[in-house]
Amino acid sequence: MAERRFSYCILSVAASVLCAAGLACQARESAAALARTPHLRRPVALAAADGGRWLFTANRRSGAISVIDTVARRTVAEIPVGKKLADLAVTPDGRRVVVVDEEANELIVLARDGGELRPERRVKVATAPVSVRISPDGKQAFVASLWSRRLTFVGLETLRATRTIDLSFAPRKQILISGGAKLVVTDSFGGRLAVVDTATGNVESVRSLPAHNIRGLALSPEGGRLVVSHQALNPLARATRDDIHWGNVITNHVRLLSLAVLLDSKADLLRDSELVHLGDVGRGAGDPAEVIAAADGAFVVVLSGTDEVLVKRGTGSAEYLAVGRAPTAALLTGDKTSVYVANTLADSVSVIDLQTKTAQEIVLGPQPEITAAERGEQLFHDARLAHDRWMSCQSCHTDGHTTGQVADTLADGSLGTPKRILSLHGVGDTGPWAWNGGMPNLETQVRKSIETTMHGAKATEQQVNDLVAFLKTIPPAPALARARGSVDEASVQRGQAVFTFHACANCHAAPAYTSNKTYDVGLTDEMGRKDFNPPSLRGVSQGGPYFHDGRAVTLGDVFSRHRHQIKAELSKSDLDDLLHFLAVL
Amino acid sequence: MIIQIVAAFAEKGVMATASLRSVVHHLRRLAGDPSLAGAGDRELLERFAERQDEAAFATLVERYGPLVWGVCRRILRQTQDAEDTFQATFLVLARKAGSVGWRESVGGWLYEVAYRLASEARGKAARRRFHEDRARLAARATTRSNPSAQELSDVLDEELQRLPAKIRSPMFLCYLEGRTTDQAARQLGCSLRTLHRRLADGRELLRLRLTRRGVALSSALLVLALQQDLWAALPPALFTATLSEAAAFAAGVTGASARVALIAQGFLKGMLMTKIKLAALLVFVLGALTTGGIFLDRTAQARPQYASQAQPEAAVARTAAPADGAPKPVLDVGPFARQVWTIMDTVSKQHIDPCPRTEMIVAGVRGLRRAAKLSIPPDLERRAAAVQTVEDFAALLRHAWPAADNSPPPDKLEAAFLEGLSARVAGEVHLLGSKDELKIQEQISNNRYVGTGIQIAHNKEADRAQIIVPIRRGTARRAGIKMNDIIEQVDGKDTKGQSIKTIVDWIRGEEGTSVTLVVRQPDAKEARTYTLKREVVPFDTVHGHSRLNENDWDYHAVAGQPIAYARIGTINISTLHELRQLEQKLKSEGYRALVLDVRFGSSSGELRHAALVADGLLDGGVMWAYRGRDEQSRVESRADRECLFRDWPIALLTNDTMDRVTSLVAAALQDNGRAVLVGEPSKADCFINSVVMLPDGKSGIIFRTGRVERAAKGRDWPVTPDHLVPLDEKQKKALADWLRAEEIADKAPEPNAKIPADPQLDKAIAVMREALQQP
Repeated sequence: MAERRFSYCILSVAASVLCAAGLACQARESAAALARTPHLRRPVALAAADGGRWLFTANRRSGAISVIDTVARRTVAEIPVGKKLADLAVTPDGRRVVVVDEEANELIVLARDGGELRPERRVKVATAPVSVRISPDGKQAFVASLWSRRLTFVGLETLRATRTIDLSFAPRKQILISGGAKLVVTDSFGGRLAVVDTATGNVESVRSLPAHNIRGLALSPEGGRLVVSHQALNPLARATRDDIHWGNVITNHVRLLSLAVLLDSKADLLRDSELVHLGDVGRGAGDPAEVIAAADGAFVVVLSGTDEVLVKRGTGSAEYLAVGRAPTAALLTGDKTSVYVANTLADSVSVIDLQTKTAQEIVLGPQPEITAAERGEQLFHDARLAHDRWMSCQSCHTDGHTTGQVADTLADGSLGTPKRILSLHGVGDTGPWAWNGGMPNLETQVRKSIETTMHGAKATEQQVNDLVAFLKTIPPAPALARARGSVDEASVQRGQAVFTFHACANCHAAPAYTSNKTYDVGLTDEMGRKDFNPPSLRGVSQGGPYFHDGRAVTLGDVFSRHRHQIKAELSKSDLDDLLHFLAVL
Repeated sequence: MIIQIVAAFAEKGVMATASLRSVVHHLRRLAGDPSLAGAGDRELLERFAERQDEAAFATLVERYGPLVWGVCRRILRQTQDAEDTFQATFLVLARKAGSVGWRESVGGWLYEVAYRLASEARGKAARRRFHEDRARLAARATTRSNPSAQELSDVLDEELQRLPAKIRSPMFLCYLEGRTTDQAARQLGCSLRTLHRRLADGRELLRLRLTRRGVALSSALLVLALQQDLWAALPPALFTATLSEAAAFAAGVTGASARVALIAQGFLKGMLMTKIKLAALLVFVLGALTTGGIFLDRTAQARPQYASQAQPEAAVARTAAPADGAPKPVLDVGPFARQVWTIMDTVSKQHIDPCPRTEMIVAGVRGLRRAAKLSIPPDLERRAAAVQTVEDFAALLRHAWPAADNSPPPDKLEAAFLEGLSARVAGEVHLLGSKDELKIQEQISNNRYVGTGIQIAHNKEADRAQIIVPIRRGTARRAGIKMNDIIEQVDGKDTKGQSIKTIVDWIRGEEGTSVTLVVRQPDAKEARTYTLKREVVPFDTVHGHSRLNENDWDYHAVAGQPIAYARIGTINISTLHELRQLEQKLKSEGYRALVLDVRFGSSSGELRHAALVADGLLDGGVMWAYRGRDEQSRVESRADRECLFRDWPIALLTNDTMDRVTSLVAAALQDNGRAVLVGEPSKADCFINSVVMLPDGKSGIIFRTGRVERAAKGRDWPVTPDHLVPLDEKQKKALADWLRAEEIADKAPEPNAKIPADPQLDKAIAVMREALQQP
């Protein structure tokens, strides 16, 4: 925290210097100084300008942009621009860089001059922006916001938000197709994919891939296919060492979708598609992130969980190149001979020469000593915790949340009883843990997950403690209605009355909206188990599906179809109020 | 009708046996050893060979004479030929008595020798008796549907010979020679479970083949026929003549009948020239062929294992000390009663179609009393019905239990009780195997068998284990172990005369540990020594059409067409992974359609492995629905949309050798329109067995807990193909042999090898061609 305050201090000093005097050289000096200061940066996105001469990274932790001189292969500056940067892009004319700030809910437009960036305008966008794309004509920016489940279109000439579009899922990745006429937006946690018309803002289709953790989108060089990197979880498999060993539980993929099929909103999305398996028995390829489709039919896939980059040519051989810790973003150079990879948890960028298959690392700046929670964050994303590196904690608890799937693990004490994966947002306050409430402390649960679900080596005390320290830093997921700013206080009050009337608080008691006992609420699992620990309702609007086996698709279904603990008939308006109340928790 | 025939034969047998018995008894008295009657066959042969003990040989002729005479009489009507053949059979035995490698019992061996000798004799006389034979055949054809004892035995003789050796040996041991399953398993060096499975397979195969020939028998009657119909009363004159001939022949002196000696010599010569067949005793050191599964297809689980697991100490502990110092111990049946009570309780609560407890008790007691050769108490059913508590049951059991003297040992009686009980429950109740066996089974099911990767069999000549195949990717193969290597020592222990099971036990061990083998090629002077580390040996479960080399297959279903052929040899935990690899390979090689052969395959027996494979091949949809005991609970299994070979037409080759797991996959693909089925119907039914652990947490039982319903409305079990293409038995066998041979990585390349005709594959190719032509 100390270094963070320090960085803000530097930021404000830098900002005031810029505003007051407008002395470019002073700004340059302070940016260079920041790059030399020990602090955590956490680069999560990459963009290049001037034909690849300059490389920019969006730093989630320091809220700054690191500037890399690609000729000298070193970091020349770190420009403070915001709080928690999530993505950035360069306009086609190269004169501007746009970046989204997930914490400030802003799109920040910066004027660029070589490696120098100057904040020009901040535009408010929907809560929790996580990605930005720019139209080919440079006139529009498209921003996807996670917790508000919205897209914001921003006019880059007027520098105003022109359109806000609600989505039915929490988005993350975006890619423009059809010359910028359509925008493809994918789910941050599950497998949904929407096609949006960029002229009208119409959501033309929302379809599902048999996938989760979609972390990479690319167009094939000939332009006929959309390349998607993701993971898949098979609920029919069991989280035993053997099933994991043979690649039956979690698999890592690149899926090639036909653009023609993608654009035909009535078509089966998987028609004419192809699924490529990454990794092999004995060598899992946990947590694929950004994917690049190179010209010769080769893929370059960043493997976040194994700290590698996988170069795979068609169905032929695969080569693995080691990079820094938890790589996420990647960028192909203009001449297509090299790939830049952002090593998020190493604060560095790797340059991979595709011809020689060698990697060189460029550090973004000096590193401070890291805390237990920061070590825990590294472990959370580390597939080495699992047997043969097929998965990490992140694979099912994406960014601490949930993929919404069911998994057959021993966490509930038995196999053959798949259970819905729970969100870890706010998990520090929701004990006891596991569906059967069988885990009195988070340490036991973490150890059990590593040893009986991921089947890695026996976890050390420190690993467990570090992971728990990290988990406790994850706040509850923001409620959907609050993230969208659509709270109707009167409806919330009525909803709360319904909640009270039906004695929901007996089990879901504030402030964490859970309790430490198990209850029989008329649900039975495959083993005949009826007593479950009530999951916390904080951020419940961001969860779904619901119940232990995910049988209720929406929160509305929980009451209307499954009549979950309803004492008397719920009127339509009561139900709406109750749902609204839950959507603000 | 059959029962009457059996009774008639039995009667004749009793009369003849009485007169023989007096002769043998006389001989035994002369030899001064009346205990010969209880001696084992091998012991008798040794005595005859070493001490020229005629009484020992006489005991053997007495024991198996009626069986051999039965064969001879059936095949050779003319008395002279039949008698010659009978004598020649025993002359061969006499001459071979001194050789090593005899099994504990020789009945099956004698039966086979007699059958072959008699068949040869009939062949020679064929021309001479042409008309007679034709008349006989014609008569048989007309009476098939209503066979006489003679016809039944004739058909049985032929069909027994046609059974695969693997199945024939246990059938002979258990049914012809009257060995207990324990004894038979020991002799064959296989597990009880395997033995039971083979017996069940044998019964079923034989029954089917008989049915095809117009003889309909239930399995029980079939066993009865095997035990009794094949035997014929032996004329005392023939018996004594044979004894004197045998003694002379064994000593190398020509006896009275040169004709008989000639037959025997001719046969012995043929035996020497015949390469010793290894197939009869194929045992995977890895056990891959010997295991069933955890959830399905445990139909032949060995029940008596329950008894064999009992430690001697435990047996003693259960026998209360005699109060008055009298030598008659009183058995404490309490622990056994409690165990059975738990089993009955578990079955009653969870079996899909439970049998009332009273009936289970009655069936168990009947089994117990039969094993002790005691009558069934007349009031058994009334007493069983009155049982309310475990104490009541223990009291009933105590009452029914035979007195300790003269009765079989307690473990045998317990096994008999459980066997009786099990037979009464639909689908039977099977006890889990030993812990070690379960471990091996789990390893195989999960395709992570730990070992050296060799498949061995017994070599009779060397009387040692011989390596059939060093498995691809196994540590033995990498070290340089070759096909046909004879194993001379395992960790310094001599293998001479050891059973395969013992050697397998020696070779097996924990992952990471080592074993040292001394091996020698059959003709080599030098022995070679290898120290091998035991490690995980993954088996291939998916194969191509014909093997190109150790690692590669030719996948062409037909030359010049983009239609691939692949065969799933086993469905287990790794099959899905291998299908994924196959997909990538076939795509890269330009194939566009797939013929997937699931004939002659096996599986881990686990329902979830069927689910993983079907799930991988399907593009969503319901695979099947599971119904447990509660009729209301119907759980649908849904496939995800992985859909390997997406957009490819698939033909699935099926036949009656498919087990339940494979049949489930076939049904799911058919019901979802994912594959066209070509071939013959399967035989598997819809029932699912589960392992249910007993409250002690250590032992478990397997029984029917549910059934699967097909996804498509109106479709039922067994699975029937969309295109019915029958194969005759000969075609089927040729095909199965060829396919299995192709699995062996060492198979020498045979460029001109003739691939057996496969009309089912031909049809599938035609269907695929048509599918590829459609837009």
